[in-house]
Amino acid sequence: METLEDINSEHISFQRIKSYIRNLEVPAEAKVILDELLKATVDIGGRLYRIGRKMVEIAIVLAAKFPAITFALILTSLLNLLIAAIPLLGPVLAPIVGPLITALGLAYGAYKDMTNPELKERMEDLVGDIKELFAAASAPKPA
Amino acid sequence: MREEYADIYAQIESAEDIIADDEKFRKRLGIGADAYRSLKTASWLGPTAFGGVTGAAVASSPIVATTFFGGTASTVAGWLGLGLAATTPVGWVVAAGVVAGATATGAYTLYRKKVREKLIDEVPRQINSPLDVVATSVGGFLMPVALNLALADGSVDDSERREIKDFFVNGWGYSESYAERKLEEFESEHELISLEGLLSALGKFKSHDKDCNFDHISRELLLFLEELANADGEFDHGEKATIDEVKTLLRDHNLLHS
Repeated sequence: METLEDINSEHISFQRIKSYIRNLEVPAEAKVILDELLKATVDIGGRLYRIGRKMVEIAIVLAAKFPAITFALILTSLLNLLIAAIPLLGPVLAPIVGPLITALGLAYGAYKDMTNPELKERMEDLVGDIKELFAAASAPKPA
Repeated sequence: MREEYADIYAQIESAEDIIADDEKFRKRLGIGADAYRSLKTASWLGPTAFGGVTGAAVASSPIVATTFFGGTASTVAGWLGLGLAATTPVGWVVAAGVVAGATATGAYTLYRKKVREKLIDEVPRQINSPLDVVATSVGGFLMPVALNLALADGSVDDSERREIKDFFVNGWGYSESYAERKLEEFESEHELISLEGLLSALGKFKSHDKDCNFDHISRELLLFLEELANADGEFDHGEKATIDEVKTLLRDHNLLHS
């Protein structure tokens, strides 16, 4: 991710993401929460960034790339890493992530057991990139 | 995202849609609010709980208070705005054992549920199983049954083919291309498919399904079969016999009540 605008770029259409969620083997409650996650935005300098939608899109791609790891585990790991790295996103994402983990039937902290080092590295790199972009965008502008 | 993901994007974008109108499909399943486990638990426990709180002693019990009304945003039920978190069954069991008013409240709730079912179509926003899997399975059972009736007089004519396609596309929300392709396939294989085999398999499917109200689906299917039989203005003996057979098999396999 090179610019903050990349968060709003769409590689997979909204309808296709909705269809992907409908076709997941997870409880109906979790799918409803995922629908809500798609609407989660963060305001930086008066511009809205669709961070929830982007995280779902990234998790879909990573789940295809690493089929041994479920979409649910990838997404919740990604969201947890993001909240830990960028406190600004906590108020937006934390109220969704807790119920999502419960609805998915995952144990709290299950994301810490991510054993695939390549996937872990990719997620950490990605979160690192987003953190830098947010830091640069939130930094006070020189007078 | 990296260039290496281009293939994945293309693959996801080009996936075939079995269902074109998912709301229509979810409505047809007739599952309503029961699709949600948290609501199902709440409605099952509700009569006992609310009956329970009419007894002052029980209502003031800290077990009941914390168990029944301990919903927080961190629980699914709390997040969904229910405020009822069945975090432990202990409170419920205690209440169920000691409250006399629960039975009447339960009967009223059941009556209200039945009346609501008759008057209001509840459509869950999502179901538990992958939608395309349920769609493939349900279509795989119902489409051949409809074709079987159309074949009762020896062949499927164009108007019957149109009626059947319309039922699955406009009635159930299947994509037109998928419905057309599957109906063609089933028509060409009809000699290999028996009503008994189909409905017995549907009965087995029911045993592990979480998202279909089979009584509702069976009733809707029978209504459609009658419409289909009358489509050409004649309701002949062969068609009547087929519908009766379907009805009997649906009952035998516990798919249709009474």
